Amino acid sequence: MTAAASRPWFWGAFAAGIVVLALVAGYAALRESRQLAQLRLEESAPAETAQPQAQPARGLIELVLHGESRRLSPDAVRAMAPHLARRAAARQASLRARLERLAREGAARAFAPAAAKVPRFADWYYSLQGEYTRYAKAIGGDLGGYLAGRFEAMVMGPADLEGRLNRLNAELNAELAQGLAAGFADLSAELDRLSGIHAQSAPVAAERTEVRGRLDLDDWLAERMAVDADELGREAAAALAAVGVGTVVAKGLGAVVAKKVVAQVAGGKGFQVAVALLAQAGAKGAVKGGGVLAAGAGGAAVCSPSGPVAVVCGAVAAAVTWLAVDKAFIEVDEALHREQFEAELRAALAAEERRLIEHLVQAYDRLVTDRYAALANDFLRLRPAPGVGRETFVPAEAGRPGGASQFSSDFEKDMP
Amino acid sequence: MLRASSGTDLLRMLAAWALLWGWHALHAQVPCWLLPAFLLPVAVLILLAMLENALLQRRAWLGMYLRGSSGAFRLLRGGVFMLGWQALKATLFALILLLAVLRWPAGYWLLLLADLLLLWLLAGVLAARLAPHLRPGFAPRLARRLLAPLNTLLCGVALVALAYYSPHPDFRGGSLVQALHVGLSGADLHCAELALLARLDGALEAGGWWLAQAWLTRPELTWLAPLAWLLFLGASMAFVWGYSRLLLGTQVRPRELFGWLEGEPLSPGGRA
Repeated sequence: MTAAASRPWFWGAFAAGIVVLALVAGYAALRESRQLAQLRLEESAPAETAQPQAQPARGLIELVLHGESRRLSPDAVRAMAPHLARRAAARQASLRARLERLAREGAARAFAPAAAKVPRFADWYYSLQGEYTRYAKAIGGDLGGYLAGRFEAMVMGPADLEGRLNRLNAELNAELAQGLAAGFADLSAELDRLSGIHAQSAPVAAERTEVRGRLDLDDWLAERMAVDADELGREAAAALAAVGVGTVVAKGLGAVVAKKVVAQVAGGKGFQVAVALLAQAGAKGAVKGGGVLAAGAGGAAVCSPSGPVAVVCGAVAAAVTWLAVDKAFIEVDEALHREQFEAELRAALAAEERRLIEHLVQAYDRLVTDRYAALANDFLRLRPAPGVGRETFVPAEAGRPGGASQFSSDFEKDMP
Repeated sequence: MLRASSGTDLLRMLAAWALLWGWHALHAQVPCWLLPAFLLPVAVLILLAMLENALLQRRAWLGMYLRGSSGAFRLLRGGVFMLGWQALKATLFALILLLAVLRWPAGYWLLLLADLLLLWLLAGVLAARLAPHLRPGFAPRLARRLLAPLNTLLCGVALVALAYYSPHPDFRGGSLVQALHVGLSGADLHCAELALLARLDGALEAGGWWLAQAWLTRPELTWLAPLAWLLFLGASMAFVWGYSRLLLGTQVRPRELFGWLEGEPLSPGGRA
């Protein structure tokens, strides 16, 4: 081969040499950094004895639990996830059921004494004192507000409805805190058991053990299980406000619900007294007019001749007649309507009790769900939920309505 | 030897396309020691295209300003340093192309095959159109030089349009960590060292998509959103440049290039 003919081979070999050297240098650099990193990992983690038939793995997930580090393959983590999901779901359901039962029983205990005080209010309502104070308020003030205030003073106050409801709120918060802490502790124990089984049954080979992800469960569980009672109370108040109960933080659950009870009762049929009052007044007036005249005639006869004594006699007779007629009307009214009146008041209390139970169950359900969802999201860091990364996002449709994400953060749905 | 596009050129381009497709199909089984079988040919083809372009540019510049007999001309006409530098760049671009290939869906392969045919046709047509206006020998070379950016643009626009209407991993509602986890878990390579680069590439891609899906799906963007998406998708099509160079490199004759490096004139009767 002449020198001229061999020159192209020189350039070709030179170019190939540059490329090959570049590849070798790059490969060496990558391998060096990987081996150094592996060395550091092996030094910081407990020594793993090589066992026969070890499974090679590409990318591991390192779990730190109770101070112990375990490296699991992604397959092992995937296998654990359904068990943990089912256990968490069972715990969640159990806690929800306990809270609901506590809410129902507590609300019944709180409202029962109030229902028992209703006859006492009815006694006042169907009395002369009650009627005349209602007249006075109708003329000069707010009758509805007055009646509501009387109801609160005569029924809810003695029954201590506000205090009982505040104690119920505290009991629910305590039960929630205890339930969450117990649930997370149980999941921690289960995670410890499962990860131990997988780490022993499927040891990983010493080579190719790059750690893809790391989860320090000790820190994470400590944070999750440290359920702060005050913080939980604030969360519960916020949850109650979110379902329409009101601002519990400043006033307490009892005060908020008591106000709602009064509003419920005041709006009921039993308290639609303004119209009834006027109708009754008209009827009574007609009777009293005749009665007054008759009494006047009788009084004149009894109090004989004339002078100031006769005037006094007449006035007294008028008053007595007035009162007598009113008393008679009240007794007739009571005989006809008292039962219905009491029933309506009790129905208003019962309706408010049911609404309170519904709101309590909703609010505490939300708290439990949020806490377990936070736990699920942390577990999902070990393994992406099937929703994340699913090939469902189209840029052209992203801005259109209905182009919503298929991703679901529900723990039970995402874990197979 | 000067010629317009021939059937042989088409076969060579198809072979380059098949090499990439073979890597895409077999990457999970290819051990590290077999990686050069794919990487070297790709790197060499890209090198040939880049070197031809670099030599043309350099010689044009030198021819404009320097005397042919000048020592500076001989020093700067291109040699070991130019070849070494272009070889390093070609190796890097080949690696980027091989990593990008791993994520190509079936639609991309068909579109790139169509682009291959278009490039083959355009190379012949352009060379024939340019030939009457250029000195002998320059028509195919200049045609390739013009086709590189042109094909990158055309192919890039087509791929962006395809990507705009195609489904992609949905990261909405998920955290950045979850998105990165998807990106990290996507690459399954037998060669651990290349897997590291592939995972890094996957994580960068996933992170970019997560950000884009978090910000470009807001309703207040209105008409800006499609424009932003097209820009985002366009930026992720950088590999098309390497693909264009790969295909055009199949039409370059290494002996000619090495002759230029030796100082031979670019065209018969031309200056060295």
